[in-house]
Amino acid sequence: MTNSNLFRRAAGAAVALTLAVSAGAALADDLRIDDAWKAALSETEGVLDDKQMAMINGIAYSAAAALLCDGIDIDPDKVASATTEILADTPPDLTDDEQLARYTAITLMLGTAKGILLAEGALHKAEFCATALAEKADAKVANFWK
Amino acid sequence: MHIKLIAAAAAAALLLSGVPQAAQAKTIGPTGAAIVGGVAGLAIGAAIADANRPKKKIYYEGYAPPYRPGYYDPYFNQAFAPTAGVVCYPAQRLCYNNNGTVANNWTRRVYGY
Repeated sequence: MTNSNLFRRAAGAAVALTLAVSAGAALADDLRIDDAWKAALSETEGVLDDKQMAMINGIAYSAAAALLCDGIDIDPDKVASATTEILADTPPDLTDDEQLARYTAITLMLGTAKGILLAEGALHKAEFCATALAEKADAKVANFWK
Repeated sequence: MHIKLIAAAAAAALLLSGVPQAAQAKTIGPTGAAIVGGVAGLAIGAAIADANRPKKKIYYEGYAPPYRPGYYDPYFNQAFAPTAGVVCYPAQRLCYNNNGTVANNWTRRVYGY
């Protein structure tokens, strides 16, 4: 093993340790309402894939920020486009009843996520809104706001 | 139960009014018809009832449970840090900053939307 390989491995281990510690610190004092998320998500696991669920969270987060923070408004066209993309990507051969069940599950999940994120945001509104406003001001970060 | 009763009462009122339901549905539109007919109410009732978890058929194509039956907790508690100061929860598909705020930009980067 060359010196440069050794250095690369040592550096990699140091980064991994740093990230693990960072994650541990966040887990120790984060403001996530764990039990609410767990109860909600365990019911809908499998209905949405990773990207779709992240999009639902993004819409819910944007909606919560628009309600809690001054200077942030939802862009209904962006929300409509994303929501339609999620709803239209259905498994094959669903009956009308199954389509309705899927649509209902997704709609409820969006409302539930928005509610939990509203609660989390309200618990530390100043930081929540400061972060949201910083993201809104960053042209490189796509969002669901006007 | 209330939803079903209200939906049933509304449907009964329509029948008693002498207006054919199909004609009424055409007048009020498909969403209104679904609500008045109780279909939407039944779907919501089923979705929020404990005994009516989503049926496998409405799962996305290729879904494989990422945890063994009865082991949702360890899965739910998994976390990773894509960068210092950010932690992501795979079960939630959401990332947070260390100060507890949502890291929306990292959620987008990690989950690709």
